[in-house]
Amino acid sequence: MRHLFKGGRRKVAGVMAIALVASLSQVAPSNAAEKKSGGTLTVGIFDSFPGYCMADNLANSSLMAGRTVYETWVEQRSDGKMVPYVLSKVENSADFKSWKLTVRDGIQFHDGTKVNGDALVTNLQALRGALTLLGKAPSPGTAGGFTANIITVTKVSDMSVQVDLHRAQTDYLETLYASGRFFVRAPSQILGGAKCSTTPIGTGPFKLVSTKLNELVVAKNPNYWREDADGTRLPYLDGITFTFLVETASRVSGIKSKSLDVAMFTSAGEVKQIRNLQKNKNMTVIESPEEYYPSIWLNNRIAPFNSKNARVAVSHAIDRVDYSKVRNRDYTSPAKSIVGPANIMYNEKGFLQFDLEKAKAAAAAYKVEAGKDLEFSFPYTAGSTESLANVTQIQKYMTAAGIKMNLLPLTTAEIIQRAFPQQFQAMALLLMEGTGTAFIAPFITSDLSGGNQAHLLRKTPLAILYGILNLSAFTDTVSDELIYAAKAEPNLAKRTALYAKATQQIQSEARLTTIAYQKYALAYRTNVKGVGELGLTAGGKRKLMTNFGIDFTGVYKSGK
Amino acid sequence: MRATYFLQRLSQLLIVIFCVTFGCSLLLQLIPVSPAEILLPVGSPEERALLTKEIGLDRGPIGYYVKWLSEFVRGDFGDIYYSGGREAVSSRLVVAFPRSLWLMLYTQIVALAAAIALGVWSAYRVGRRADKVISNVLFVFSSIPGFAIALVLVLIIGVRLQWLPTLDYQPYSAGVWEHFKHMIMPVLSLSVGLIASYTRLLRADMIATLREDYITMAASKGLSDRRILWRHAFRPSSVTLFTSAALNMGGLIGGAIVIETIFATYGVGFEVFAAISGRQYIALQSLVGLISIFYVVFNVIVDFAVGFVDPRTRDRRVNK
Repeated sequence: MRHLFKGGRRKVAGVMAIALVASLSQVAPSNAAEKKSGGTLTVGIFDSFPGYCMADNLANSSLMAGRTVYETWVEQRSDGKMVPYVLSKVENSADFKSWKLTVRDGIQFHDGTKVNGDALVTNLQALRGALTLLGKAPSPGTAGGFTANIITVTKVSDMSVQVDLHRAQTDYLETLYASGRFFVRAPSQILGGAKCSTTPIGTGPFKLVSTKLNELVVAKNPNYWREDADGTRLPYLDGITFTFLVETASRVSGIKSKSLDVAMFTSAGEVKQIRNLQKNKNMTVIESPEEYYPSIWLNNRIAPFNSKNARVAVSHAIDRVDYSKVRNRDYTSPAKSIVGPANIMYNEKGFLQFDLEKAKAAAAAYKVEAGKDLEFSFPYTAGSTESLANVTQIQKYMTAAGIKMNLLPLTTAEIIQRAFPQQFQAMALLLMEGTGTAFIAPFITSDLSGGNQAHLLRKTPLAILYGILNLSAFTDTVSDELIYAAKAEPNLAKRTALYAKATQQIQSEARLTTIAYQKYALAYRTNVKGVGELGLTAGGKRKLMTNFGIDFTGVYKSGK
Repeated sequence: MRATYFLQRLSQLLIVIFCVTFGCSLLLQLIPVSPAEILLPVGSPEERALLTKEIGLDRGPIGYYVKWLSEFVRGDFGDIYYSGGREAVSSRLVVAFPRSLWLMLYTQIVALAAAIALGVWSAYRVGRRADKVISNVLFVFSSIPGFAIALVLVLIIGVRLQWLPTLDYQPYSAGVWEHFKHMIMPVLSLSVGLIASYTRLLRADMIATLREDYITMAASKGLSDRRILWRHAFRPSSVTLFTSAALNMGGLIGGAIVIETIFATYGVGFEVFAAISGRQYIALQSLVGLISIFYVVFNVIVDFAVGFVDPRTRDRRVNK
């Protein structure tokens, strides 16, 4: 036995070594080829799917899901710059009033139709309500307000379209992007009647398998137009299931128990869970920048906030540092402006910080002015302990300043329904976001058509969309003109200065206020790879993580 | 006699369904704003007028109800309205209903099987240690809400041990084990509370039955305990148990919303919740109608079953 072992050791070792090398030489290339392809992911999200038509606003995590089916005409790079995406080229006139958009050749929708100038025209006309007026497409919803600066949309060639604006806009591409929300929809979806909301047809890396209020299932689009740097056609994954899990605990337990591969969270009430996952070695947790600015909208049109004293009192009464500590566990930063430091409109001047004495003085001044104590109602989501805890905390600050804040429990649907006709005295809602103004200006401008009396919606019921997004319902010609001027200004330094002035004007009038800046987090298991690795076609990369999560085009799963 | 009883129960069933559905449709008429405005918040006045006519809201309460009912009995449960179109409620129910049905069925099977075993054993050993232990343990379980049990199960079985998935529903077509793997924890969460209440009901009835003279007679004739328990005592003692189970069936179809949410099984309960929060009143009316039908039908079935198990109950009701 001993002899046999001793005598054969070298031979055995030699054979084993040869076998090992041989096996590695055979397996390694096949692993390399296969490792990025195939597999499915299950993703837990905190938003539901209200639909996919123009007026159906997918929010945050469900927007992430929607963006696997849809793409946008332009994309935002990690440095904030907008670059063509489904478009191949963008040209603008010297005065920034005319924009020529050229569609990238060779892209097709999931229904097999070609993406071309006609498709672009259909999309833009649907967003601005032109097709609704003709009875060809459903309502544009709030998109009609966002696009109200457009005068005409004209097809100039098979692949090119010219967009003419009422007021000059240097950042028109940001409006075209709308913080990732203005999808490239197939004309068959837009003009498809009753199925517009339930049958998303885009150009994205994944195509619809099924969708419900609580779920979106997508499968690999075999005809997707993009390839990776090695020439492999994207996407890598076979499919993704996005599941709406309203309970944070379900998302946490789901990802810990491997029922989920990825889960998304918000700093609005889910900080504890985010921190819990950050400690888990089987998880990677990425965070967005603090570029989301939940505001307290004070209705300037009705009492008591048609009084500046009332607005000033409330703005001064909120202890933002304490709120960030108590409610957000210091995970988010207390606000020093209505928007965050990364935003072009950021300006601390005029922002009414916490000052209890000034709050009391303003409340007293209001009492003298109105002949009664300062009192208002504030809605919150009934049944949500987080929402109740948040408003109770704000109520505490109000009480300390001698202001009576009545809590109004309502369903989310009721809140949204009453918010946009601006029926509340005050309310908290996260609308403003990002580094630019495309998703800020519409909420703080009184007329999104820029005063265009000839605008196509002017004499229609949809004209309400010009100002419906301004939840504080204020008309301030000073800030309006400063914003219009800033949008027209090609010089960045001058533009920044104009925006800063507009912010100062809004803040000093206490039109609205902000408490803390918010961010989002996404956790994924260690076998999920490729997050944030895929570049854009125009060069550079997208932001790794935003309110709409990550891009799944270049994501793959190892060890399937 | 049986035909009369059947017709009597059927007419009662129809009256209950009529009352529930007509009540729901009246509530829709009582909403202070036009339902069309709620269903189409961004629609034009013309679109809303069209919708009002289409739904039948312009026909008055009776006309609206008659229209809704005629469509309902033909399987048209109305639509869910979006800004850009609509979706048939029936298409959502095709997905949600089997989930709720399986969940309810498994829950009842598990709860009844456990409760019958425990209830009979507990009654047989009444006053002894086994009875006291069972009673106390069940008392504890009956005081813990289902969602708390669900969260504990998720934490231990799902997260710590990773034996079972914590989320999602899988149909039979995905594999029998896959299907059951996803149902075990939701079913346990729902059935633990039911086991406690069913066992207590059965135990009490069994104890009363075991004190009956005919049981003493059976024992004196030398019948085995097993035969006495299962053959002579269980049948008459199970009436309350099965009636209670039937009452719970309707509730489980539409009322397992919390468990459905925790485990993301999303059945009819979630559809009801979504219809309420999304103000989809037409869908809600149809869903309530369907749940009420299930509720009533299950009760009628149990009434018949009880009549079969204990003919005295049937005869008593008919003779009334």
